[in-house]
Amino acid sequence: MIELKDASKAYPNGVHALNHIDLRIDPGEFVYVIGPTGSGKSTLIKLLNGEEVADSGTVTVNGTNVGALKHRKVPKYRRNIGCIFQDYRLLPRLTVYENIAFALEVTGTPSRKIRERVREVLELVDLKDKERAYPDELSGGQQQRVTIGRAIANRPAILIADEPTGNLDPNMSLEIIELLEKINQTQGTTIVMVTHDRDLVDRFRKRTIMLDKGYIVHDSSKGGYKSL
Amino acid sequence: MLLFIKSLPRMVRSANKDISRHFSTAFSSSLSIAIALLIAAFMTVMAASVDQFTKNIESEFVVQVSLLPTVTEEQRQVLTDQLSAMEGAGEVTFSTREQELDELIAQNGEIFSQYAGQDRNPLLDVLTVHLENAQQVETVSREAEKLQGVASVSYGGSMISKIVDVFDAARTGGWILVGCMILLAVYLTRISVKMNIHTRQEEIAIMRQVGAFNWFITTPFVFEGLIIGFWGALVPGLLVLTGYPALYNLLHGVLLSDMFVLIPPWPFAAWVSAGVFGIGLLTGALGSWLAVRKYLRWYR
Repeated sequence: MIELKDASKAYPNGVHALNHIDLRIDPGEFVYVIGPTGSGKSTLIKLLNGEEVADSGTVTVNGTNVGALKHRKVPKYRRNIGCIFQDYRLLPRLTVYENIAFALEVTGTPSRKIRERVREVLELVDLKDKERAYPDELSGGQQQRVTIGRAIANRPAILIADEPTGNLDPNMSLEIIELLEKINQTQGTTIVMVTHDRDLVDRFRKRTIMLDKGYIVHDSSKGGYKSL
Repeated sequence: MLLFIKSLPRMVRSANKDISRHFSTAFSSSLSIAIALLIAAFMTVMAASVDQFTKNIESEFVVQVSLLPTVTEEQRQVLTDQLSAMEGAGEVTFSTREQELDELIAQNGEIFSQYAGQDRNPLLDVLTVHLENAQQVETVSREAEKLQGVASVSYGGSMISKIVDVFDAARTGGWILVGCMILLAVYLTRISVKMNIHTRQEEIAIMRQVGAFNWFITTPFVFEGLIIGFWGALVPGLLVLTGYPALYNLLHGVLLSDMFVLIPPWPFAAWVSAGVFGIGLLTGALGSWLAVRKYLRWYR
């Protein structure tokens, strides 16, 4: 469960990125976070993955007070949070298989378990036939699926997707949202997706939270822009 | 700890990959470590040998006290007692002017035999003070000069002590040079590691994102420094290990004369070689640690 209580964050340059946010996201939920540029979406993600600490208020994720985490405990905490980015951030010299295995290697998973888990993930993201391909041999949608595979390899309870369809055409965006839905339903992973894509938000209706100037201006469980 | 041991092969592979990625900087840092260590190894061998030389030389230190022709046997006995009572003085022996001339002829050839004969011998009777402590040579000479019946005082060690002084100065200069070379090596290693950190910035960001511990990210870079240090130490280390015993055998354990006895190669060469490897590894590790501390500081 994700819970923000009266959380605020300002940057040294004087920008108040988030102001008195109260938010609760239950386990297994799929939530869209929308809002114009500079509304505080990225800061919200940074507070959740422990990259930034709230100036006031608390951010609790699965019972962990993220702001109070000691530096050395942050890596272990992050294994519970998968992150997907608009620009994929794949390692170009590693194959699809190796990119997914990378997340498991750096957390010290035994090699036998890495093999098993990577096969499972490749099946889930439907890239079994591409395991030996390099990122530049893949389409944008396929690359994003590799990123999703890497993000879920450690079986995180929460998946944060920062505009995962931002670089993709509508067909590929559809593929990605369907995959995220599948992960949400089959694995029970909580998904927080930041997006600008109106069509997707309207078509695949989920709880939608709208941020503006650091405040939550709408929180609709009906979903879609029209409900706001 | 278990995770660290399990991750070792991966981290060493990563370090090797980094070195090949920026081979020229890694090579130049290895090279400067090698040069520094080569000089250091040479200096150590020399320093240890010079200590041995000096000990041999010091044991040869004597002060020659020439007596006035008017000194009687009783007065000579008193002088002998006074000299042997001085601090640092050991045995005092007497040789007559005839014996001195014989020795001069023996050492420098028959040409001096023209001075043979009671009236022609220009030399004086001599009391030779064998020193127990070579450092006292000047004090003993000064004190001896003040004694009544003494014509002149001389000691043969002045030339040798000058050589030792020159050696000492060369040694100091050499160590300063070694220090500078090691600093340069540390700096070059730091640059090499820094370049690799920048090249792998994206990979490091992903590692942080997926929850890698900071030591997991930084250790390969420290290994990189250690490998650079190891390669730098390899040539000087092996050279000492094989070269010194070979030199020792070639010269039959002595340099120029019996006075300069070389130190037996075992275990001396092994110790120097181990020291060379130790300094090489430390230099590399220090360079990479400095880079890691600055460019991979842990942030959230």
